[in-house]
Amino acid sequence: MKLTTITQVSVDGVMQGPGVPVAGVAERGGWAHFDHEAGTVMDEIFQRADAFLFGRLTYEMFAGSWGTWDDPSTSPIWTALHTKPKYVVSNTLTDPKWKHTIVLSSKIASAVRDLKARLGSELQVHGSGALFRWLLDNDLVDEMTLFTFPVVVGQGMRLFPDTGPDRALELVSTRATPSGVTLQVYRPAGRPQYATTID
Amino acid sequence: MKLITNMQISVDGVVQANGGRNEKQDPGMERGGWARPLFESEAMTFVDQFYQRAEAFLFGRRTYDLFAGYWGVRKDLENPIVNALNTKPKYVVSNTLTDPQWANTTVFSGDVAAAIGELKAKPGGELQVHGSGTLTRWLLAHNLVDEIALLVCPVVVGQGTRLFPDTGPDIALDLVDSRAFPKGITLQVYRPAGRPKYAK
Repeated sequence: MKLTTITQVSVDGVMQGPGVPVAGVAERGGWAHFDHEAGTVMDEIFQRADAFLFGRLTYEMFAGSWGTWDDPSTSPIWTALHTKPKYVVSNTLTDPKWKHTIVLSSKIASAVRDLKARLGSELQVHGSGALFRWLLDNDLVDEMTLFTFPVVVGQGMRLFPDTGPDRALELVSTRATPSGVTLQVYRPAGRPQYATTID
Repeated sequence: MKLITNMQISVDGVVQANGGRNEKQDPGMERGGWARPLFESEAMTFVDQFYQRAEAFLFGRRTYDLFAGYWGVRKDLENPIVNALNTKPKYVVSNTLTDPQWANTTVFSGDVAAAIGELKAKPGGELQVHGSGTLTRWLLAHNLVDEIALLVCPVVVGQGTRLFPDTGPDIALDLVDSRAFPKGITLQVYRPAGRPKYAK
């Protein structure tokens, strides 16, 4: 399986609270407005998943929402999340209630490599900012999809850290939806090339 | 004139030292020059045509100094960027610059918002801001920007100043144009559209 990440970000790079405000940390949450086209793309992405890999915070948020909802029978996202294996990276979570959940708590890099070595199409990471950064740092990401929403949030955690490793990216595809969401798919491609010094 | 900002920005939002590493201008910034290798002829043509549309330029002091030393000394006016920068009026926002050597430069200090407001009130054309991260942030915070063009370069720089501050005003945007270039740069042009709406 290739490891793909799917992240909703604002134009200023914020990834916290796309769907709803987070009390005390992201009062400006709820900035990611999906139009029909962006929603369809997200449905298609979930339909491609063979398994999911989550950070603990995103897992708990998904478990508390999607995990508790009854099957609307029309949602590819619901179906994927309820029927495919879910792996959660956490040292504190011990007894997950949501079916098909497996907790990864040690030797994460090799556990993720083992998953990637399995047959299948995609191991998907949705949201999960801290995990995303760790996976990218450890060269475990095969493809990253960014849904960039047309808004400057001006508050909240960003997807990329202020200081971190540098990465060249290859643009795999790009499109814009009617309400101005842009979707970019990138593939990490080693170290960037830098122009020579300007005198 | 409508005020348009044009910025080369990395996927992680960095804008510093896009063109090259320059220890004097960007002390401590070791990863300068992340944008230049990604510009091929199609993206270069886009930038050339952008400059050709300018009626006037507005700069922050640091970008002005950099441009004055690089573009200001060139005589090849057949180059569209050299031509525009050396023939159109240049305005620079600075409290320290007093005697600019580059011809056709006017320094704005004091009530900068009013001075820019007057420029914008003139009929037609584009007042272009290139680079000038600090100034662009200030213009955005003061609702003086009509359009933001971002040339998003396919690279995570992991170091250097970002365009948008960690904490700042929230702004809804309308996407008015977007396209991709052969080496993976994508253009997004946005128009500020008031305060964002939030889901409950």
